Amino acid sequence: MGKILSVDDLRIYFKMDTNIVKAVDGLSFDLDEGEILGVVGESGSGKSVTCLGLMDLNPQPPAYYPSGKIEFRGTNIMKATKEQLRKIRGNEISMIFQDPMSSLNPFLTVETQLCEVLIEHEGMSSDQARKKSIEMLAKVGIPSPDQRIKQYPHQFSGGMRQRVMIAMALLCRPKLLIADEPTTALDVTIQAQILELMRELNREYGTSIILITHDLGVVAGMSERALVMYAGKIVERASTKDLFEKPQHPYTHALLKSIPKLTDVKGKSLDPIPGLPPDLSNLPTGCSFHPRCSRAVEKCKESYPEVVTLDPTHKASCWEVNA
Amino acid sequence: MSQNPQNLLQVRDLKVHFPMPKKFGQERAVVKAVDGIDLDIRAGETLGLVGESGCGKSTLGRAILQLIRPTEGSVTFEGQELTTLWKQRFGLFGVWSPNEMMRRKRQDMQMIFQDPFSSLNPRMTVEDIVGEPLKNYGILSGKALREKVQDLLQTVGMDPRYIRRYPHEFSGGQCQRIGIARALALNPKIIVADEPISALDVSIQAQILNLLEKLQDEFNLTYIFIAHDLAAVRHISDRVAVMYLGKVVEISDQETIIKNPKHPYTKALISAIPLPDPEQEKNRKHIVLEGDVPSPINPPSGCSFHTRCPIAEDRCKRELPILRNLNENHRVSCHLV
Repeated sequence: MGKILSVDDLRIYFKMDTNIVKAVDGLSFDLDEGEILGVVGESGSGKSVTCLGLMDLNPQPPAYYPSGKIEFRGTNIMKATKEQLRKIRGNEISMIFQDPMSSLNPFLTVETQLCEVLIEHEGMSSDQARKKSIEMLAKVGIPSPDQRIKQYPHQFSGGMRQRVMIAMALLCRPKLLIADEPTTALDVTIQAQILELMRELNREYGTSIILITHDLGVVAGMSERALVMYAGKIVERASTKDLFEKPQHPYTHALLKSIPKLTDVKGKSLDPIPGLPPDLSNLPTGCSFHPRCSRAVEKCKESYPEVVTLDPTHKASCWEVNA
Repeated sequence: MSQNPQNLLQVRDLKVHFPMPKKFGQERAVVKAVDGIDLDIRAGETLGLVGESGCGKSTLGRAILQLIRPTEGSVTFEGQELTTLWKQRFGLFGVWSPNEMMRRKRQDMQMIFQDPFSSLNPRMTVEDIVGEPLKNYGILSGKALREKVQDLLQTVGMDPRYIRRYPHEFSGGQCQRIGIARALALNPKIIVADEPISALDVSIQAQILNLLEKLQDEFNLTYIFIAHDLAAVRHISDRVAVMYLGKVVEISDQETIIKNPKHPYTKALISAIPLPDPEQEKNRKHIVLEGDVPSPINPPSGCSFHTRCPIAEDRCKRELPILRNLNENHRVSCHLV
């Protein structure tokens, strides 16, 4: 399998009035064709900014890219012209957002919004586009799609809206689907439906998926490989199995221990991570996790740890981890 | 059912119906948010309420505290009927508001809200926010009040020097701690916590859960813990009630609910939770429910779950199942169990 996306030393900073917010700071990863990659992190860890960055959607200014290269199937996204980007966005790379209500236009019917994609990218006639859109709505499990397509977003429930978003994202059979917390706003039973749908699409069309979430359970069930982000950096990357069985970075470790599990015994208190997620405009020196880390030593305050390679697929950035 | 002295709070056949605007030529539609609920809450326990959005769990929590006037049914707190403690102001068509007796009762019943930012007044300092209940009931004032507020902040794990600060200066987790300190101020007996952790970061959720558990031991509190996250509910609760469309469909101790659920909805709900363990996740069979939760304006006939139930029979469409005892502390409402 070939690589579909490779990101190298990506930095996305935001210039604010008085300071610079380093939202993404030196990110590198590859994505294979047909792979589902999980990205885990808390709010403020730079997950969403990375996603938007992959399609060059961060507003500039205030955002700017001090360094980095994003290569998608041979095209360098960061050097691409507006015309090139227009052809890629929504066509070869699609995105699903967290909040399906605010990402659909409330003034337009679902039909208008779905057909626009096909007319724009595939040059279809409106009749063809309509037919294809109805097919896609049926595919994502919307009952009586030929009726529902005439409706407005407010007439759909949360789960249904997310299905419409997914249908829209898949109309052009994208090579890469970026799903930014696609199920966070949904109930568990609806979440299960949406995840099942994404798995099916991955199997059927071989779409690569970057799945961004803060729910470790979702990652466990969906992806083969996962990245853990903290304060704009990847702190650990591993196969999902390794990540859950032998987490190396203290943050991953603490995160896994702090979530309540269905298998817990009552009365056992949780081990929370002390402190707060860091302020991105005023990061701690050295390793950004050191103020909250139970294993921190002097060295952690002074310099950022190098990447330790445990095996070819398992890497962590921590002074206390030994290969 | 008779009064049980062990029970701090009893809820009997509680209904909360919200009338919708009348449309010309049609009957007035009614949202049956809570539709006939019986609950017993024992002193010192934590009762978890779970269910999907729109199942009426928040409405139930509010109706128990009489923050919403129940349409029917009774809520008894320490032997005192609460649903009659309302008065209608400005005559027959006036607004219903709680009477003086209710105001006094509320000292013992407090609430923690979901959104830590919007539940704190941005123009009030931490001192004003946490001290307001004490001032309101005329319990403390002046220096004693300030000392009590500092005490409370310390109890919830915050620096007492923060009393002059405003809510915007704090993070979500800290704001939630302020909300908890406010709820504790009057030394209540029961606290309704409405999704207290769902707006917080993953690494902060555990801090708040631990704090709630610590406070329960320290102050001998009774909790009604409302959440959609079954793992968190299981962690903190002694008993769990599962709600669907305004009704309790299953209630038991937390161990039984997770390990031996009987109602098909509870089973589906548990199976839908992704486990943070790739090996287990791979071998697990998920029960994926079809469709959405039906509208509470026009709930399905018979068992309201029959439209999504994988094992529904003809009978489920016609007959309404009642919540019956399987054993002393396990109750289920399903024909087929």
